[in-house]
Amino acid sequence: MKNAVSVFLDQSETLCLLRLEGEVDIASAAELKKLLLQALASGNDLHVDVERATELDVTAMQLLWAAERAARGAGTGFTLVGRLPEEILAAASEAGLEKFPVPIDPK
Amino acid sequence: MLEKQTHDRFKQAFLEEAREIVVELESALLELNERRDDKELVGRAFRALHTVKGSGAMFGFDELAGFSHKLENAFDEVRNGRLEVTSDLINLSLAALDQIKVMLDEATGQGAVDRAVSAEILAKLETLTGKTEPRSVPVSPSSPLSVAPSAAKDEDNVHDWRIRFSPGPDFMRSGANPLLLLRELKQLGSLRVQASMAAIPPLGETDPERCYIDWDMVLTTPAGREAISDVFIFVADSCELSIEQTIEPAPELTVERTSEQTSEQTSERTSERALDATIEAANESTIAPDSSFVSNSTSIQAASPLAESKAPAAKPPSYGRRASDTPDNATSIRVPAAKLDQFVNLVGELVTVQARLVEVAARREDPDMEAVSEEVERLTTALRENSISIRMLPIRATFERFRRLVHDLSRDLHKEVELTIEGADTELDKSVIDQLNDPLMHLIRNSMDHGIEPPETRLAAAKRRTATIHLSARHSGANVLISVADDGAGINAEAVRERAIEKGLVAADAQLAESEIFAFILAPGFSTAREVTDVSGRGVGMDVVRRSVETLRGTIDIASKPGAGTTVTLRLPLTLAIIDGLLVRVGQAYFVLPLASTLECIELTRQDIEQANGKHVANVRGEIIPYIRLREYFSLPMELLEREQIMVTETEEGRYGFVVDQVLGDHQTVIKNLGRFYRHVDLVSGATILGNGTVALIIDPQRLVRDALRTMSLNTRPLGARAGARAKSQEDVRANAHTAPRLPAKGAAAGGESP
Repeated sequence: MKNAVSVFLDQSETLCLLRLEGEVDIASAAELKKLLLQALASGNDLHVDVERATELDVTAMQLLWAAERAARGAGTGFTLVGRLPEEILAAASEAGLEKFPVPIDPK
Repeated sequence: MLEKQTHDRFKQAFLEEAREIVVELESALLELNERRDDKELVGRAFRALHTVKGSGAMFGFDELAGFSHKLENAFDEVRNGRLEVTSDLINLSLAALDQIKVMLDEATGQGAVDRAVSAEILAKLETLTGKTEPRSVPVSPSSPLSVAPSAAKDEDNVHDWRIRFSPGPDFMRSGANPLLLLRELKQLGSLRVQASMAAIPPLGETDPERCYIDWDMVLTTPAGREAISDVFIFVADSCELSIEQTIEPAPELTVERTSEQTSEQTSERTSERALDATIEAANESTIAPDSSFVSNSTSIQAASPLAESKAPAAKPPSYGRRASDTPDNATSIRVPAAKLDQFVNLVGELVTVQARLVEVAARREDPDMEAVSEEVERLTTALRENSISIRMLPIRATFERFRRLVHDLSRDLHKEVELTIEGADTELDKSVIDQLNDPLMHLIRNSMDHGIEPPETRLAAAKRRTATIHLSARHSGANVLISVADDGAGINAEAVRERAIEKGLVAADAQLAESEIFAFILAPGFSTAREVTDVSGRGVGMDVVRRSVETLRGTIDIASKPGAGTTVTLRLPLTLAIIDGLLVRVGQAYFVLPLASTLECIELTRQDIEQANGKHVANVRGEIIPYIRLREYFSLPMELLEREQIMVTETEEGRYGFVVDQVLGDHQTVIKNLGRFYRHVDLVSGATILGNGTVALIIDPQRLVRDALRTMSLNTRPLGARAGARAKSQEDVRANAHTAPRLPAKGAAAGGESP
């Protein structure tokens, strides 16, 4: 059985880092939403690290999408950091999402 | 760990559901055997298998899923007219179903699957289907999609299908995953997918466990509408789905969508486009043909026109959901039977306590308390009726199960038998239904083995070659009548009599009515069969039937005509828990009469008795009604009363009255067993505890009248008067037989003479 908690938020004074690990699905959706709201409320730029995620289901994708929109509306930065796993990109494309819901940091 | 529990619960629900589906499948197969051209039945079988496969895979039962998949393929072939329904296919499918049952048992920790049997069945199936594998669907949702769809095999029949799919609010919570469905669709042909994020509300307002994404797809496939909707079969109730065949070529879709765009969508589009630059590189890597997820290059090329259109949705943009999105999508829930039993028991206790409350309130003469007591009574009645209705189930599933038995026995016994079912929607208490399976099975086996003749014999007797067994259920007052009728040879009454004499059950010179002779069939170890077969002949079956039916407080009636067939009717109470009764008093004793069999209550004065010249009959609006004085019948101390009451009841023997001292009123009666010591007392169907703690016996009018007819007319003491009612043991049967037990004619004033 996988770990129930697969989303983590590290907050510093100027930056929030949200890490998604393993399977991020409906089981962790409520937690993900809570942490996203918490990060956005801080007013700092949010970095999302999905490098160690193996699967994002539609609930995770739509939450990231909504968070990205909210960040854009609030004028804070919202960036994907780390390498995006192939499986996740493939799943996003398979789901008909033209792109991953969060812009990828070109670095 | 909560998650694990949830998963286990889903698993459990799946196993239960799968068992139901297997029963449904079995009856579909057996019906199909009779109507081999029925497309609807083939569809039913296919859908059932598809569900077992799909949900099995979803919950990790890969072996089960794989096995059902092979069987499903065979039925897909049938559906597409490439395979014919034959006895071989039906028998093989039934064997496969048995194997699926074993797999389900294994999943619940009972028994083990014999893999060799599975392999053998699959091998036979392959021979039968000519090894055609129309489409190979990976059965595990986690396995990569590796098999190219066979879209090219029939160019003429390839169509474009426009599929719009919107998961409902509880879609994700039910354990479904839209991505798996999209993958499965992709197996049917080339699929272009466009997701719309338009309905996702602002982050703060989202329900994180709900899917807000809608999908708009174009599927190019030779498969038909049925095959496409089958993909969604398991989620049909929790999503909105439209499947339309597009006549125009696929790119038309783009145009239509563009024209539908609103300004808001356009602005959204623009902002989305701004993000594109950053993601393009990533996207390119996905589209690479060697990507593990993309199996079909045509699908990617075809996808490009759609991808160019950035229109997010064909629907008006709105953060609110569809009008049909009512939060209350769940129409039924599953509850373990034990919980339900506990609930009904508690209601039973409540009813008893409520009776006490009424009693206390009446004694206190406190208007406030009486008001409360009345209110509680009303609520208790409603609660009781409700709890009983929850336990009521249609008998269909039990009946349908016997199609298989009849089919298998016909084959083994080389007889041609058709099972017809009537009144399958008749509802019965769950616990009654649970205990009906065995007796019905024995009755059917008996009919098949002894009753029904081989086809040649039937033809020689100018009967239809195919025999019929008719299973029926219907309500009759507070009872349900369940009958098993066959059009076979009937029971040879003389043979039964001889056998009964041989076994010492009856004296050789006894005069027996036909119904009494047939009753011997129910005696333990009684069989007229010359040889014991696998099916029956050991004399155990009918004894099982008798015992089960007695446990259920039911009766058995056997009717038979030589050459025309036999009908065995089981009369069973609707419920075993609580009934509506009428509380009566005779001297110091209290009795309850079931309200359902009570017609009316009339007064009996001393004058009436004198006018009848000592005969136990009353004139009710010109109709002569014989009555039984409970005081005499139960040998209670005699007392001369000015007025008594006659409770007129409807029984199978006609209308009979029971004379009591006083009618106290209606009474919600919780039926309690009398316990082992009194288990042979069959004149009462149990006892109940009254509000003041007194025990009242619940009278079974049917049996009481029968016994009265038998005994009072013969000047013997009624059963009710005997010290301790005895079992209807062999001695009893013998004793009765000696005293010329010819029953009086139906409806005659048999109880007329005082003993």
